[in-house]
Amino acid sequence: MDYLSRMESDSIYVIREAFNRYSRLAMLWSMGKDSTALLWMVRRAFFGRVPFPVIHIDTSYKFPEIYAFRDRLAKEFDLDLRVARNEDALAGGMGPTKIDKFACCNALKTNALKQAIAKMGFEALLLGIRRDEHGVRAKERYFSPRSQDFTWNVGSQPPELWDLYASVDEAAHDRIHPLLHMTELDIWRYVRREGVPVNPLYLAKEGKRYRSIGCAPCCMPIASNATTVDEIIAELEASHEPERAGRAQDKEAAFTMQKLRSLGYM
Amino acid sequence: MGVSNRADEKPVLRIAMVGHVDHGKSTLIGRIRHELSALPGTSAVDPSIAGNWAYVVDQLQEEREREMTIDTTQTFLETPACRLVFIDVPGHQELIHNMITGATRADAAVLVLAADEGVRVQTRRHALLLSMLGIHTVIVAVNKMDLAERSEPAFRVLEEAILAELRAVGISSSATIPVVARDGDNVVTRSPTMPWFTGPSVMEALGEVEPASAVFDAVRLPVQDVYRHDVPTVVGRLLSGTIAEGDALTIFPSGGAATVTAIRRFPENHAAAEAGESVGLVLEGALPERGNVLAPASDPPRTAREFAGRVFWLASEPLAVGEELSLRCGTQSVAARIEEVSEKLDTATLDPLPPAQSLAIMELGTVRISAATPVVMEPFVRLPGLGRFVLERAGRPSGFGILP
Repeated sequence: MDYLSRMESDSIYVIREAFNRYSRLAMLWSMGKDSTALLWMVRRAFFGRVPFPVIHIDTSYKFPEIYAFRDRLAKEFDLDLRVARNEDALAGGMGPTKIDKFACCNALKTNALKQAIAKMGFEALLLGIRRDEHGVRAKERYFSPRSQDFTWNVGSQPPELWDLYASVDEAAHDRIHPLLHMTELDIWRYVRREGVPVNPLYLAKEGKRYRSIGCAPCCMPIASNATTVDEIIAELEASHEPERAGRAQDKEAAFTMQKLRSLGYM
Repeated sequence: MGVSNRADEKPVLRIAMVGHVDHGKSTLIGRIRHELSALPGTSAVDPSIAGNWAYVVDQLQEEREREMTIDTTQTFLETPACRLVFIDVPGHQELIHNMITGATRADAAVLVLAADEGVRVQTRRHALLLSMLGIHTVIVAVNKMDLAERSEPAFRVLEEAILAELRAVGISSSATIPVVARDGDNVVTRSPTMPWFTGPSVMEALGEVEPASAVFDAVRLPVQDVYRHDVPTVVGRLLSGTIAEGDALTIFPSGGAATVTAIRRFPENHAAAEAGESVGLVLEGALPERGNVLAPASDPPRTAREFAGRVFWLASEPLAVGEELSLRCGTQSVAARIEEVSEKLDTATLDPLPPAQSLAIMELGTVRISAATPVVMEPFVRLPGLGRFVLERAGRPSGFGILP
């Protein structure tokens, strides 16, 4: 079995374990390359269907291309799309310049997700995070229990032995990370092989492209002439820059990602 | 497609760094990452942590403040020849559950031993655990050789001691290498500071490791689920063997017979499936349920309600004879009762322990278990995926076992 097929097979195993375990399962979709690849694998796991809701945590600050991509694929893949926004915070003027970027991420992403889970009653969420994205994400488990107040206690995670994923009874909700073992290059090679739809923001225009996409005010494009997936792969195969270098929140202060994640950030 | 095909063929090696507290596991990974950051596609190590190589993997605030690894981490490298996944694990015995979590993902290991301290409790315990987990490809890095004046006689004494420890748990090391991880001596390239050593660097030794190939080829498909949205489809990941349309399979433990009429895949079905593949089968005949194992009638798996395994206990509350908990093996989850504990071992010393009615944290013993329903298994050496199990208390993995 070739490498990418093995990666996919292991991810599908995790997806199917989650689907078996939880009757109220949903998936987070940011329309980025990772969660779109995850969505692709979900369709493969269930033979063309996506048998649970797909949640978009909408900060309202996303790029217009993200919304267009979302609406196109939601129709094409027949998704049960749920858009979750922290309307109270948005009405109060929350934004990346209101207090600081940490407060903004926490209000418009983490708290929007909290509200969505409470309202829709989900037990578990599938997310497209990967270990090689960030040193703190590298410490994640495939099945990660979260407490009632949403916190991730990274110092006392339950053991996870082989693929006998723990079923911790007292967790308020679980996060499941089927792509944990894949690298950024794995994802792009998978996208190329499978023909997974690609958000146009990743492709260079006028010498610039986004390597990691999120909210427009907090993402910086990189200098690039990669206008196709092949060219993106060639660029990454030669690059020495970390993937999230263009993300504002990672740079602002030491351990920001850890603080965000321990409060329930994705 | 030439490039992608080549990338697809590169073997993957997952390497756990194990050993006692502060012997330099994280530092060795960090130093390797630093020295290989010139590799195409590898991001540079943050220059502000130069010298503190452990920070490459110790990225939690608590880890840096306390100068220790708390939870297991993985870091990825792609060389022109292969893919490497380095798995860091904590050395503290209080964090043994995190060490096991990391080690169960590994194919090979580097056992790190500090030259100034030599073999310590966790060196021995980690070596024992590697043996138990079936990780027999082990390289020894004798680190901090600067604290032993980079001297050959000091190295030979340590080499003899660690090889004896490894032999005691049934492991033969493929290389024992004197190293100064902090300075990069014998880490990626051979160091002129220890000219008496003519063996490989750590990376050279890892380059010699052959990925293990599966030898067991009878079909074993643990059933994950049956989807009934449209045509009933049995899903699971094929542990071993190959399946083709028309194959006759038996459902264990019930014994029902079924024939494979289609191997589903979206968007197009496949005619056959190979080991490692997450498959969807349409069957004619009996329909299995989650936990069942599909296998050929001519080469059946072992099925038993009562069996014994070697168990390592992870929870602070001991495992007691008479206790009822949940046993997980493959996709099976069954209620199980502990009938007997025998042949107990002190994993800090490898000395036998007196007979007792319980197994305490970090003790190893033979545990006889009776399950509420028959369990489908294989000896671990034959098929690891059906030869290992986890004991759960209230959904929390509290111990794991290996079937002889």
